[in-house]
Amino acid sequence: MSSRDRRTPTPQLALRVAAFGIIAFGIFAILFLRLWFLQILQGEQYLTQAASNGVRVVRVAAPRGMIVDRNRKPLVENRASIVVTMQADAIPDDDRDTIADWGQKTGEYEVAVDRLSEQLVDVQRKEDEARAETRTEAQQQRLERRLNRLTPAEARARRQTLSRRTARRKRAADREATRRLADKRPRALRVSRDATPELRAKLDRIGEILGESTPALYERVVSNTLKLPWAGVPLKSRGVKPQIRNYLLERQADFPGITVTKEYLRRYPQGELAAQLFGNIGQISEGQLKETKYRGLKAGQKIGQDGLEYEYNSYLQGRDGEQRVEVDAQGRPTGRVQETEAQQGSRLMLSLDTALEKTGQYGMEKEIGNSIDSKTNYRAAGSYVALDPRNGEILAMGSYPTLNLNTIYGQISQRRSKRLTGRRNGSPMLNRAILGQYPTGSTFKIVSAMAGLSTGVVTPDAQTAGGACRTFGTAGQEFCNAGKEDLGPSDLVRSLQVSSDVYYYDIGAALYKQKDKPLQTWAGLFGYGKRTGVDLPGEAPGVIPDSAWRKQRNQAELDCRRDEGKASCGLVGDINGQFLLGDNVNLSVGQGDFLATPLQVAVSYAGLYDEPGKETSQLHFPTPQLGTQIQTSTGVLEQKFDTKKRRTVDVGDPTWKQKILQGLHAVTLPGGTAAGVFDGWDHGRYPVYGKTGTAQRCNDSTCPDQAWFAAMVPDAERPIVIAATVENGGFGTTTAAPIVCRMLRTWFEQPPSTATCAGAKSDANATE
Amino acid sequence: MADVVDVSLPFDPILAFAAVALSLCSVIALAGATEGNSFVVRQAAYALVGLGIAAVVSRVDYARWQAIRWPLYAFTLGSIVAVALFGQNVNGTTLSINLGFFSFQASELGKVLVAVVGASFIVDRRHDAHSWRTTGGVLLLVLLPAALTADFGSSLVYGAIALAVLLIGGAPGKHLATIGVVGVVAVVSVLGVLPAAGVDVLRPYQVDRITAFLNPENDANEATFQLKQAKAAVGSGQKTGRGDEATQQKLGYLPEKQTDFIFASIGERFGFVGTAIVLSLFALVMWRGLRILSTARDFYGAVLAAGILAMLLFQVLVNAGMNVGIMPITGIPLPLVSYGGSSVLSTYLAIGLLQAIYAQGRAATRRGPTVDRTD
Repeated sequence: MSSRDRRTPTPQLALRVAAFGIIAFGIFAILFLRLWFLQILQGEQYLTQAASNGVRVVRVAAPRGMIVDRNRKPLVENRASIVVTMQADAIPDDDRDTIADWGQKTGEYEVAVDRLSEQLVDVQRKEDEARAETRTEAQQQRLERRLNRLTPAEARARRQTLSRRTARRKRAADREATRRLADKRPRALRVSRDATPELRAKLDRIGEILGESTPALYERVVSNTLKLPWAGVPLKSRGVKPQIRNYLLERQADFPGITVTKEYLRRYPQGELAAQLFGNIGQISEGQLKETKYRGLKAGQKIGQDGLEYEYNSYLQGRDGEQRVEVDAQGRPTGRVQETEAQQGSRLMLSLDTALEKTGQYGMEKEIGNSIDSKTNYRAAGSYVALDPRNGEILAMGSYPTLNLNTIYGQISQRRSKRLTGRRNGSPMLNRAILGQYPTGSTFKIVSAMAGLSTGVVTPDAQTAGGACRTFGTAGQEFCNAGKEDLGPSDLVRSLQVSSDVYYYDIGAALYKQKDKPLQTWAGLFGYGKRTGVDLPGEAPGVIPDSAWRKQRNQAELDCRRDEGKASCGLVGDINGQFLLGDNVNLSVGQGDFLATPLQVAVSYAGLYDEPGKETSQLHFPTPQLGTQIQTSTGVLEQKFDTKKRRTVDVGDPTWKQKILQGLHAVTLPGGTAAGVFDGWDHGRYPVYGKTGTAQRCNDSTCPDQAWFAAMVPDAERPIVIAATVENGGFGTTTAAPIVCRMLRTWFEQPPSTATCAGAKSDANATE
Repeated sequence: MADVVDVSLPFDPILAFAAVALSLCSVIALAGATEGNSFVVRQAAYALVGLGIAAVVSRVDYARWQAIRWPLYAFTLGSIVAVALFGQNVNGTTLSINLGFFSFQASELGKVLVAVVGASFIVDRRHDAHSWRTTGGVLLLVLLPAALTADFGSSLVYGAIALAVLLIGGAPGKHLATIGVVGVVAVVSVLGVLPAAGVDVLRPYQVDRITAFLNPENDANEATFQLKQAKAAVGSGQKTGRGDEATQQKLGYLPEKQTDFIFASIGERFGFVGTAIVLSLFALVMWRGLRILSTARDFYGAVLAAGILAMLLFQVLVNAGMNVGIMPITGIPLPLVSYGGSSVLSTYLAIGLLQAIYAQGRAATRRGPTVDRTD
C-alpha cells in the first residue's frame, strides 16, 4: 500500500524507458533505411519489374515466304488458319501425370509387341531353312529347272508372289504378337474415366463452342502432351469460323487458358510433286535456340527443319509481329494493346521446272507403280535428277514413291503419319536423289574409259579381244558380260554402244596393279565419293572403294562387334578381307562396293558438256543448285545466288572426250543399248549422249537389278543432263531410259510421236 | 456517467493530430487502391466512430479499468472463444464474428484489453516484482488468449505487449533474457523442428508465409510471389510515386492491397514521400507515447502506456517490414491505416487510453504531488 510520487521515476525505470525508446528509434531507422534502399536506390529496377508485370506479349506469326519454280509457278504457299489452343499451364498437373504414365506404358507395350513379332518371324524363317535343307537332291534339281524355265515376266511375277508372302508373314506375326500380349496393353485413356473433373469441364465448355466432342479434344490433349509436354495443345486448327474466333476473343475471361491465334500453315499446290525437297516446318528446339544462326528467335517459333525450308530458313522465315496486351494478375486483358505487324518472309525461286518435274514423276509412276521390291519387301523406289550442265541449276529432282504433302503435314494421327511415311510404304519422304546410295552399273564406264585412256591401258581406236567372260587373279574368278553374251571384239566407241563389260574388266584389272590408283583417282575427279555441295541438307557422299577404304571398313566391323557384342555387324563379309583385283574389276563397271547418288551421276555426265562447236579437252563439273533467287514477298528481285564456279579438269588429249561422247551418242542410235527407246527421236537436232546401266543389288539372282540411265543433250539454248534410276527396274533400257526419254521430250517440247520412249521389255538381248 | 467522464481534462494535441492524420492517409490510400468508394466510406466511418471512442475514453480515469480488470479479462477470453466457436471461417481460420454492421475480431480488441489486464497484474504484484511468479503470471495471462485465438499475428502482438509490460513493470533482467531465449527456441521449433518431426503447430500455409522472406528466390511459393510483388510495388514508387500509373495495385499484382499491403500501395502511388510521411506520423505517435509514459501520474499508467506503445510499435515494425520484404507475412495490420473496423476501433481505443494517461498526468501536475492510487 505504499504510495509513491511518480514525478521522480527510479533510475532503473528511466533506464528501461530509455531502452524502449532506443528500440523504437532503431526500428524506425531500419524501416527508413530500407525504404530509401528500395525506392531511391533501386527504384528504377523495381519500376522495370512492375512495368513488365502487366504486359503479356502475344506473338503474331509471320507467314513464311513462298517457294516458286523457275517460271514463278508456286510450289509452296501459305494458308491462314485460325487456331484455338489450350495453353500448357491450363492442363492440370494430375492430368499430366496420368498422360505421361500412360505414354510410358504404351511405349513399353509397343516395344514388347515388336520384339515378339520379330521372334516369331525368325522362328518361321528357321523352319523354312530347315525344310529347305531336308529337300532331296532330286527335289532341288526339279525346283531349279522350273526356275530356269521361267520367262522374265514369269520370274517377276514369282518374285512378287514371294515378296507378298513374306509381307503376309510379317503381318501375321504382328497380329499374333498383338494377340498374345493383349492383356499387357494399357487401356486407352478415356475422358470420362481418366481426366480430372477440372479438365473435363474445360473441354466440355470449349468443345461445345468448337463443335467438337469432349473425347476427341481429350485425345488431342493426350497425343500432343505426349509429343511436346510443355507446348500448347492446338484444339482445333481447321475450319474455325470467324464468328467463333470473335466469340472467344470477346469472352477470354470465361475461357482461361484458351487462346485464339492466326497461324500460317504450308500449302502445296502441286501436291506430291518434288515432295522430298521442301522439308517440314516445326517448332524450334532447345538446342537450335542456342545456335547463332537462329539468334533472335524465341521458343515456340517455327523454323524449317529439313530440306529447302531448312537451308533457306533465314530468307523464308519472315519477322514475327508482337501484340503487347496489358493484363491483370489473373491474366485477363484490360484492353490496352500495342501492335507491331508481322512481316512475311522472302520468296525463294528455284531452278526447278514444274513441267519437267511432272514428267519425271509421271515416268516413275508408269514404270514403278505400286510394285513391291523383292529385296526389301517394301514398295519399290526410284529417283531422277535433271541439271543444266552450264551452271548446275537443278531443273528437276524427284524421288519415288512420293506423297501428297498436304496430307502428311496436316492434322493427322501419328500412327497414320508413320504408316504413310514408313519404310513399308517405300519411305516416301526420303530424297533418294541425294540420299540414295547405289552401285551405278555401266553408267560408271565413262570414268573407267577416261582412266584407261589417260593411263594408256587402252587407246581410242584399238580393239580389245571379244569373248563373253574374263578370268582374273589367282583364284580364277570369272567376270562375264550380262547374259554371258559374247559381243565380239570392240573398240572404245563400241564398248560403250553395246556396253561391253569385258572391255572395262580389262581396264580395271590393268589399273589394279598401278600404284596411284588411276581408277579411283578418276572417279574422284568425276565427283564421286564426295558431296556435290547441293543446297540441301544431309547429302550422302557415296563410296569409292580402295584398299584404305577396305581397311577402314574392316576396322569399323571389328569395333562394332566389340562395342555391340555381336558375332557380325554385316559391314564386311570377311574381316580380314583386302581390296583385291576382283574388287577393282567390279569397280570398273560401277559394281561391287562402289556407291553413288543419282545427283552425283548427273554431275559426272554434266562434266562432259561442251558448248556446241567449242569442243575442249576439259571436263567442267558444276555445283548443283536449286535456289536461284530471293525475291520480296511480292516477287521483286532481292538477291541472286550466283552459280558457283565449275570445277575444271583438264584431261590432256581432246580426242579422248570426243571418243567417249561418240560412244555415248551411239548408245541412243540404232545398234545401241537404248536405241529402241529413242526410236524416232530427232537425233540431228537434239543428239542424246546417253548410257544405260544395270547394277546388281544381290549377289545371287534373287532380286532384280537396278536400272540406270544417264543422258546429256548439249543443246545450244537448253542443254540438259538427266540421270534416272529405278531400284528394281531390271535393265536400264527397260525402265530408266524411258523416263529420261520422256523428260527430254518435255524439255525440248517434242510431241509424243517423236520418240517411242517405251522400254524394250521383250528385248532380252539388249545387253549392257 | 457524469462523474466518470470529465470533459475539462487536457489532451495531447500532437498525438491526436498524428492519429487523425494517419486515418486521413488511410482514406487517401484506399481511394487510390480500391474501386468504388465503399472501402473509403467505411474506413472513414470507422475512424469517426473510433475518434468518438477515443474522446470518451480519454476523459475517463484509466484507474477505473484497473478496477474491473478481471471482468475485462473474462470478456477477452469469452469473446475469443465465442469467435472460435461461432465465427466466420475465412481462409481456413476463424477470426471474426459478424455483428451485422461490421465483423468483430475479438483478437483485435483483445490486444488493448491484454495490455490493460497485464499492466494491472504486474502493478498488483509490485511488492513481488522480482519473483518468477509475477513474471510467469503476466506471461500466463497474456499467452492464454494468445493460445486460444486462431489469429497467429495477434498472438505475436500479445507476446510483444507482455514483454513491454514486463520491461517497464520491473521484471528482473534475468527473466527478460530467459524469456528471450525461450522465445527464440519456440519460434525455431514451431517453424522448423516440429514440422520436420511431423507435428504441425501452425498450418503449412502459415509456415510458408512466415519463412518466405528468408528465401526470396523460391518462386513456386505463393507467399514469395506476394513478397516479390510488394517489393516491386514499393520500389517502383521511387521518390514521388507512380500516381495513377500504379499498375501493381491496379492490375491486382499487389495482394491484399487494402489491408496487409496498404503500406506498399502507398509506396507505389506516392513513393518515398508517402511512405516517409506515414512512418513519420507513427514516429510522432511513439514520441508522444514515450513522453506520456514518463509523465504518467502513477506506475500503472506508465506500464499501461508501455503495453500500448509496444502493441503499436510491433505492428508497425512487422507490417511495414513485411511490405518492404524484411519481415514475414503474418497478417498483422498497420494500425489506423489498414482497412478494417476492429483494428481501427481498437487502435483508437488504445489512443484514447494514452490520452487518458496524458490527461491524468497533466491534471496531477497541476494539482501538485499526488499519491499513487493503486495498491
